[in-house]
Formats: sequence, C-alpha cells, structure tokens
Amino acid sequence: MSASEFDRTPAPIGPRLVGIMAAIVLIQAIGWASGLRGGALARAIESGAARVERRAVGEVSESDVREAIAAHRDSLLFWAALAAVGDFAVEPVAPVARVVLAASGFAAIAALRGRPIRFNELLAGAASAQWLWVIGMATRVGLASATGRSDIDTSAALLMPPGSYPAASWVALRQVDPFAILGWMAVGRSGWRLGLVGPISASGICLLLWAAEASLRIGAELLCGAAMRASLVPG
Amino acid sequence: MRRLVLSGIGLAVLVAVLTAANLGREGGGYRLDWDLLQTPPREVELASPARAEIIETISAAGTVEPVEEAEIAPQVVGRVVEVFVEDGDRVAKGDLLVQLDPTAARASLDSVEARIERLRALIVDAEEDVEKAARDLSRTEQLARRNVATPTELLDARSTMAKVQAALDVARNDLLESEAMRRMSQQELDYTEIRAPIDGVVADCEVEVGEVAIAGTTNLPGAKLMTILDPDRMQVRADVDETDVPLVRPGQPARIYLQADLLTAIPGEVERVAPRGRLEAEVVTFETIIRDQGGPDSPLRPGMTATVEIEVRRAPDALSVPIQAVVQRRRKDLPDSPELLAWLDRHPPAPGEAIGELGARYVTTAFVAVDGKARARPVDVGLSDERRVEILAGLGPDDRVIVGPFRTLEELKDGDPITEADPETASETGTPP
Repeated sequence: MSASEFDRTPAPIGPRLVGIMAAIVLIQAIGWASGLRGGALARAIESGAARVERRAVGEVSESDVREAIAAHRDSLLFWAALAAVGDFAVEPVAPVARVVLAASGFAAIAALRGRPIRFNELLAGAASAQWLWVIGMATRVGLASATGRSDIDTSAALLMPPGSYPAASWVALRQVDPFAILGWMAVGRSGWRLGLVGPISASGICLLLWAAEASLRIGAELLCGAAMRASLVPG
Repeated sequence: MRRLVLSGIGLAVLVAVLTAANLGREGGGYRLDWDLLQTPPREVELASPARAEIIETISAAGTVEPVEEAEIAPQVVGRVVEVFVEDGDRVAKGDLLVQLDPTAARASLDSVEARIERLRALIVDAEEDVEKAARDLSRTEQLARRNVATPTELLDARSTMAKVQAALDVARNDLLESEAMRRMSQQELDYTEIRAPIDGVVADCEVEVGEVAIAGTTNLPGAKLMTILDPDRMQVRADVDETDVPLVRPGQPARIYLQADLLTAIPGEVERVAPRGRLEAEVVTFETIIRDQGGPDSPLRPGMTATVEIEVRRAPDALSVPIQAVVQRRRKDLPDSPELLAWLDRHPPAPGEAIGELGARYVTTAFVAVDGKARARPVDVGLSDERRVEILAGLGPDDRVIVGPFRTLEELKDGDPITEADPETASETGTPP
C-alpha cells in the first residue's frame, strides 16, 4: 500500500448517498407515473371484488354483496399508501442501511484484527456499489414501463417454468438478483482492497448482510402478500 | 478507465440478457400460493369404482288392510232382537249375524197373501160371470136373427158381456200387483235376517240387542253394524310421492316393514297404482296397493302402519362407488376444468334459472386422489341404493376415489392436500366398507 493511497481523502459520502436515494425515488416515481404500480394494485382489488361476487352468489343478499364489493374497492387507498411507503421511504433508505452496516462490519473485523480502520473510505466504496442496485431497479422499471407488463423480473425467479408455486419460493428466488449479487461483490471487494478484511471475511460479511436483507424482504413481502390476499381475495 | 468500460459493457450485456429473458417469457404463466400456513394433508380413505348389483328402491308409508272387507249395514229399519256373533268370531258366507224384529214384515206378508187369496176367488167368480154373459149374448144374437129379440136386447147383452170381461181383467191385474207386493214383503222379511256376505272374521261389532238398526249408507252414523274381513289375505295401502310414482309398476317386488318391527322385511308385490293423484297438505301422492306375500305366517294385521320399499329399477353389473363418495358442490367452488365444462354442457340450466345464479348451481361431484391432492370430478350418477351409487360418467375403474371420512368429504375442496389413511385407523372411524 503506497503512501499516496493512505493520504487520499475520500469524497464526502453524504452527497453520494443522497444522489442514490434521489435516483431511487425518481425511478419509483416513474414506475408509479407509468400506472403499472397502481394498476397492479387496482387489478388485485377488482379481482378480489369479482371473486367476492362470485362466491357470495346464493349465500347472502344482493345488498350485502354490494357492500362487500364497495368495502373492497375502498381498501385500494390503504394498500396504495402502504405500497408507496415501501417504494418511497423504505427502498431509498435501504442503500444507506446497506452501506452503514457493511462498513461497520468491515471496520469491526479490522479493529479486532488490529488493522487500520478506514471507515470513511469504506463508506465511499460501499456507497458507489449501491449504483448497481439502482441500475437493477431502473432496468425493471424501464422494462415494465416500456412493455406495459407488471411481471418484469431480473432475478432467478425468471428461471421458474409456468406452474403453481408457494409464494415463499418465488419471493426467495427474487432475492437472487444479479444486480444485488454484483453489488455485494463490489462492497466486499472495497473492504478487501482497502485491507480491512481478507477475501473470506469480506465474502462472509457480505453473505451475512445479503442473507439478513433477503430474510427481511422475504418476511415483509410474505406478510404483506398474505394479508393482501386474505383481505382482497378471500377464500 | 479500461476496467470501467469493461464493467459498463458487462452491465449492458446483463441488462440485454435480462430484457430478452423477460420479453421471451409468457406473462401470467404461474400462480402463487400466498397462504403462510399450509393446510396439513387430510387423512382420507380411498377406493376404486367397482362393479356391483344396485337395486333402486322408493319408499312410502301406508296402512295394512284386508284384501276383502265387507261393512255390514241393515237394509230395513228394525229393532235388533238377537246378535249371533261378536268381534273375532270366524263366520262363513251366509251365516246369520243379526236378527231384526220380523213382526211387521211378517204381518205385511200375511196381509198380502190374504189379499191374493181373495183376488183369486174374485177371479173365479168373474170368470163365471163372463161365461154366463157369453152364453146370454150368443142366445140373444140367435133370437135377433129370427127377429124374436129386439135390437135393444141385443145391445144390452153385448154391454153386459163387456162389463163382466172388464171386471175379470181388473181382478187379474190386482192379483199380479198383489203377487209383486208379496215378493217385496218376503224380501223385507228376509232383510230382517242379516247374514255374512263373505267368509271372514267379525270386526268392529257395535250392535247390541234392543237397538234400532237404521237403514242407509255406511257413512250414516249408526247404520254400520259390524265389519267382516278376510284375515288371510292382507295388503298395504301406501301413498307414493308424485316424484316416485312414474317408476312404480304393477308386479314390481316390494318389501313391507311394519312400524312394530322395522328390521324384518315381509315380501310383497305391487298390485295396482291409482290413476289419479291426491293432494294432501300440499303434497300429491298416488294410492298404491302392495299385496302381502308373506304366506300364512305373515304378521300383518289390519290397521297396522307400515313402510314399503318398492324395487323400481335394478342394474346387475353397474360401475359404482360407495354412496357417501358422491357429494354436491356449488359451481363457483369448482375449478373450470374440461370435465366441469363437459358436465355443464350435459346438464343445461333449468327453465327459468337466472343467469346470475349459475354459480350457485349444485354439481354432483366425486373427489379423486391425484398426486397427493384431492381433485373434484363432476360425475353423472344412475341408480343408487343404501350403499352404492352407479357412476355413468366422470370416473373410471382405475381412479382412486375418496370415500371417507364423512366430515372430510363434507369440507373437502379441489386442491386440498390428502394422504391415505391407515386401513386400521379408517375402520375405527366407523366408515362403512
């Protein structure tokens, strides 16, 4: 490691992260503006309403059926607000969390091993890697907007042949995304190149963080999906 | 810089590959199950359709009555002077049952006979008068031809002849009338002796000595004296529902179950079916006679209540499943399989059925086990008895049909995971074989 590398002052991390967050918000806004995001929710609502009508025939009075359908349609606002919170609040914060947790992990390992803790440089490297997630998101939203299809995917779920599957397996496969994998590789590489951790430790920390994020996403998606299914598409 | 360019190219290739993969994929090709808690497999009992004899029966309630029954009522009014029988007495045709007071009838007969004797004497007298008048007329005519008798005398003789001839005719007619009256009186006298019209046993004997028997129909209170019935030949008069009666024909075998002993079947045979239905309590029924064929030891007694089962159809070698395996499901609860669409084509909606209610239509369904899941199969059924139902379409001999337990079959839905129950466990649930 040369002296120039030690003396190099990393660019401020804040503007980078703000740029990434802004990009994510912009991409999500494009997704909503194209109508695909809200359209998918509205279709789910209408599907549920149709199913309510189909299943309630002969069971309850016409007025009860109308009331149930109206309640269904009224719930669109709630689910749209929940989806917007996820898209415009959680997703932009996710890169920040990734950067901070990865940098903290690498720094902790370096401190335990008595190596220099180059936290700011590590933050900068991890932040730059977040653009890979942004590119993945942009690819999905761009393709969806261009094709008008809401089932665009860039993950291993693309490999699933047509058929019926438990939602858990589909959500889990969606976490195996090449952009995320490249992103974590880039994060790990930055820690290794800065000399804080070895390649095995870097891989281990990145795998651990990827698994944690994937678990959170799988849990949250299953919970919301099941709740939505239970309330919008009863039975 | 070179590394940046290579990275950019790599990313571009990746995006292109993913774009191609997405565009080449057929949309909506997979369905997701969002249930967080998977339903555990239900333990079910499986059986394949088998060939067996199925006898379809219909049942109806009725009452036992004798084939021959005569209600005894007097044909003349009279005081009862003697009753020769009581309930349970066996009588033969012609046996004297009740004697009414014959005094008036006999007096009437005696009076008529006396009048007849008097008329016979009158006729003899009138005949003599006629002979005499004929002789006188003949003599007067001879004298008149010789101009000895005047024309006036001749006319008088002829007049006398006509008068005595008329008197003789009147007497003869009176005799005929009196003889008719004698026959009537004799019949009235005979009516005072009430005799058994058939062989049988006396029942409902309500007459006592000293009572006045009233002539009339048996519907008139007090007119019916007793009933004579034949205890050796019984039948059941049953009311068959209008939905079942098209299947009932004379000569079909039947089983009679007495209310007193519902476990013992007494053989019978359909004797006849009423040509006209009867509306009672908003239900139309057809009176059907089932003749007892239980032989001399048959326990049937008049007035007993019974349930009859009539064998209306029989299939000697029908592909069938246990009857509990066939259930009803609403159209909306079944997947749009080709089998269901074919079933709906074979069973068009009833006239007047609203289009909006088609989802509520019931579909006759059996569940088969396919790859560890229950799959609904709409079926056409034929004959059925207490245990099995004939399958006309929808199942094959190789299908594994879910036949129990009952509660599972009540709740089972298409796609539910299932597992075959241990036969020993199944027998403990009480499911019939």
